[in-house]
Amino acid sequence: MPFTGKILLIDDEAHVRKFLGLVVRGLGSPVTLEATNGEEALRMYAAESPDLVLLDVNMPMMNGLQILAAILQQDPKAQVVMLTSLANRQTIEDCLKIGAVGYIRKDTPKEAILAELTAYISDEPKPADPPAS
Amino acid sequence: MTERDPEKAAPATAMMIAEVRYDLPELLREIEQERRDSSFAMETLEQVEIRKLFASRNRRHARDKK
Repeated sequence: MPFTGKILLIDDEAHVRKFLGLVVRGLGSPVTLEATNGEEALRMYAAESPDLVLLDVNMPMMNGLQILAAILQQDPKAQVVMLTSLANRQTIEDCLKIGAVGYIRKDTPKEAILAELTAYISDEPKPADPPAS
Repeated sequence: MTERDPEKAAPATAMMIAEVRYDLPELLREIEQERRDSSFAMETLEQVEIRKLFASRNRRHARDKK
């Protein structure tokens, strides 16, 4: 079933947001929201409650880890996937500790990014799912 | 030949020991460990390994929720 939820793309670089916008279209017909910095991202998250967030790490003012922590403080169930060119273990484990649900390297081919995102979306608990006992 | 009185020799030994702050092999081990840790932290992970890391965490979380 095509995905029709909301996806928030947070990256300070316009061409990356454009690329991600094209990638997520492969999921179906998502409503794509874009933020260029942490402040904007937090405001947008609060107003729109997106189903999935794609978040860059290297950004001016607030970095991705700070934004991740702030989003999770707002909504502990937020589904945040880091999408970044940084691939060192320390950064990855920091994101994991803070609570990102996934981490994708930007040099991953478009099809593989799409496959990863599909997995995150299908992992999301559906409203019709029976409550866990 | 005069015999050394261990009682008198003790303060000198104690002072000598107090001055030795690091054991060289231990220091070298520590340096090696630090190097390993920092290169471990800076190690670049492939997407496959990253996925595994997150998958095991997500599985743990799903189990904890039950």
